[in-house]
Amino acid sequence: MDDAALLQTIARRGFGVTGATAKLYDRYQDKLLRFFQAAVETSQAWDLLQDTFIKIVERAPAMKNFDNPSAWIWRIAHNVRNDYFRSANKLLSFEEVYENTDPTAEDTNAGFYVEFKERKTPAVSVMCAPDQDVIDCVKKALERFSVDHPHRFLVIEWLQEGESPQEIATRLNRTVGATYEFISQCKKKLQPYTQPCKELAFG
Amino acid sequence: MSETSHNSDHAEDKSLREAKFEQMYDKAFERLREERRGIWLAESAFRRKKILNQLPVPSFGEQLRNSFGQWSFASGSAVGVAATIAVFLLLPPMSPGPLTLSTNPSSQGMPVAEVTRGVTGDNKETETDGSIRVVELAVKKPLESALSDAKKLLSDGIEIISIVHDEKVGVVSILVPVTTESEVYFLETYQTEIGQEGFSLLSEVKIAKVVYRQK
Repeated sequence: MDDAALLQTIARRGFGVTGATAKLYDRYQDKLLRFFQAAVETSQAWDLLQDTFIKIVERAPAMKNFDNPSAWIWRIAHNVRNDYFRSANKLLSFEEVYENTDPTAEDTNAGFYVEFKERKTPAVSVMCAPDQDVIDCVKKALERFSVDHPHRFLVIEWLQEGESPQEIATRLNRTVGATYEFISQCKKKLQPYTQPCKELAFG
Repeated sequence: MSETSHNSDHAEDKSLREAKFEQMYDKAFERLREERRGIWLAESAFRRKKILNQLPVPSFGEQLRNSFGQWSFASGSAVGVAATIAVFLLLPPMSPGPLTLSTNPSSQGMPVAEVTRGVTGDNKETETDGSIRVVELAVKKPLESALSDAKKLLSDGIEIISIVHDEKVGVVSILVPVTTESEVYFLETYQTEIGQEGFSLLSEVKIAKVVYRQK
């Protein structure tokens, strides 16, 4: 049963509404949790995930069709996240969050946003001891990257999972063109993190 | 060795390394995910339950009307819709009924048994790996009585995934989850097994079967 059929079952409010919600949750829980986790602390991310599903169920009956269920679900997730930041007076635009590369910007906005930001100075001199397992080294590099650049890590992970730039654009609520550009930036940002692992692997 | 050939070897070497590193990269991601799954598992189950408990689930009668209305319209039976809705509205107060379940108390009071599968009961399949457990109950009773059983199940806090009437074999199947995993299974089963046949009113059916499945 695809996402649209599950949403239709939920919208119909007949038998199977709970099962359909459970199945939808199983499909989206990991993706959405990571999405929220990139923006807020884990415990808050779980709360936002829960809010998202409640809203999905509440709003489904008002939908006439589910031509693009993924986009609809991600839009709700974005709204839930934005509502959270708005209520905490922490809402920033995408550009402010992802594209402001001015190292002083963080100070200028100090206090305005606490969680929804990236670290500006990557600490890449970590990881690989000479006798370390290379895969473990890469894993540590990725973990470090996820701490320093949670949103970029999210995109890198989506790519690794085989998501298309179109799907990533949907999830980021961006145009495909802007997403391509952002993906390219993410890859560049990741490089210094994995460079020591490459050196460990190939000398 | 010519410079061109040297460059070509170098490029090939580089691309091999990139490919090898790509594999390590994928494995590193896999390790990360495994760790994360372990950490998230308990919280995920807890949140899942919480979400499902918060669902604005309609009443039993409403669910029946919502489900049945749609199925019947799909099969073009407007008379069937009216007749069945009338039956649902006139359902007798809930009674214990002749529903009996072979239960396994070790499984949170839910009925569980070793595997059988299939709507009609004569196409049972056995899962040898023990990963899926099922109980099925077959009782001969009229449709109204089966619906009454369904009502009892709901009052016992057991959610009904679907009530399926197979006209060909005269079977009413009430599909009920044992675990959330099973809900997933049943939804799929529902699609493949009844397709567009829907659910129509008969005064009597031969077998009512409640299937419980657990992964």
